[in-house]
Amino acid sequence: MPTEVRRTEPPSDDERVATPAVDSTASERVSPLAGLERVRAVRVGFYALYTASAVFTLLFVTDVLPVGSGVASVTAVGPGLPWPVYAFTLVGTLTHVFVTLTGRPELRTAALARLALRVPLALALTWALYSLLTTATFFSVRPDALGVRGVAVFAFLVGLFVEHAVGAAKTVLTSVVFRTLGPTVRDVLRRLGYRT
Amino acid sequence: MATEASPWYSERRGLGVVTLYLVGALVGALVASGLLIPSFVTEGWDVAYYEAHPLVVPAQLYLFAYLGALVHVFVALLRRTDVDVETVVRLGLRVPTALLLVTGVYLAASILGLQPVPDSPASVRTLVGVAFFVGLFVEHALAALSIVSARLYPGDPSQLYDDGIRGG
Repeated sequence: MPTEVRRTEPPSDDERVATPAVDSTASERVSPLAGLERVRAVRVGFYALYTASAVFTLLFVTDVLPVGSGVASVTAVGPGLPWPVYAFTLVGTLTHVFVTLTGRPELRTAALARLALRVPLALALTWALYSLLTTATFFSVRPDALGVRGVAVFAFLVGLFVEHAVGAAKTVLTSVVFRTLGPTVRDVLRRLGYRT
Repeated sequence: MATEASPWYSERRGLGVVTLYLVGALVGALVASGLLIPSFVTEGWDVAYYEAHPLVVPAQLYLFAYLGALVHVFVALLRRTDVDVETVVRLGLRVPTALLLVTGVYLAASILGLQPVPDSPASVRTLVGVAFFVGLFVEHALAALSIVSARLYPGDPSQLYDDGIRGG
C-alpha cells in the first residue's frame, strides 16, 4: 500500500509559479514560464543589489570613494557616533547576507528581501546600543586611534550578529530599568506573570 | 522523474564561469607579485597614514583575501569535480563574503595588537597573511568573530543567542 508523503516545507517560488490556480479561467491564466522568468529576474535583482552595495561600501571604507568627509576624517569618537562608522555596520550586515546566500542557495524571494531588512535594524541598533552602553554602563571609548577602531569593530559586529546585539540591548535595558525604577517595576512584572 | 544536473564542464555557462575564476586568479596573482600595477604593492602600505586615519582599511588586504577565497573555490572544484553550474556560481559567492569579512578581522586584529609597525615589512606580511587565511577559511573567521561578539557585551554570553556560535 503506497504511503502518503507529507510535505512539511512551504513550496518554493518556482513551484508556486509553475502550479496554476485550479479555479482560474483560461483568459486569466498566466503562463507559468513567464512567472518563472519574473521570479528569476527578481532574484537576480536582489543578488545584484547586494553585490553593488558590497562594492560601494568596500570602496568607501578603503577611502577610494570619498563621500563628503569620509572615513579618513574620523580621528576620534566622542559621545555621538560619526556617520562614517555606520559604514562598518553596513559591512557587517552585508557579510551576514553573503554568508546566508553562500550557505542557503534555496532561499525564496521573500527571504532574500527579508535579509535587506537587517540593514535598518542593524543601523538603529548600533546607535541605540552605543548610546546605552556609553551613558548607562561602564563602556568607555579611548580617545585615540585604537578607540576609533574599537568602535568600528563594535559597529561591524552589531551588523554581523544582530541577534547578539538584540540580546545585549535587552540585558542592558532590563538592568537600567530595574536599577532606576527599582522594586516597583519588579513587583508589577511579577503580578503580570513575568519572571524577573 | 528527477533528472540529475549535468556537470559544469559539459555546459558552456560552466566553462565560462570557471574561466572567469581563472582569469581573476591570474590577474590577482599578477597584482600581488607586483608585475601588474606595481605601485599597489610596493608603495601602497603607508603605516603612518593608517595610524593617522584609523578607520581607513588598507586596500591590499582585500587583494589577499580575494586570492584566499579563490584558492578555496579551486580546492572545492578539485574535490568535487562533477558539481553543476549553480554550485560553481555559489562557490564564487565566497569572494564577496571574504572581502567583507576581512574588514572586521583587520579592525579586530588591530585592537588586539596585531597591527603593522613602521619599518617592519614582517608585520605587514603577517597581516596580509591573516587576510589570505580569512579568504581561505571563512567559517573559521566567522566563528572567531562570533566569540568576540558574544564577549563584547555585558551579561552572560550564552544567554545572548540561543543558537550558539553563529547568528542566523
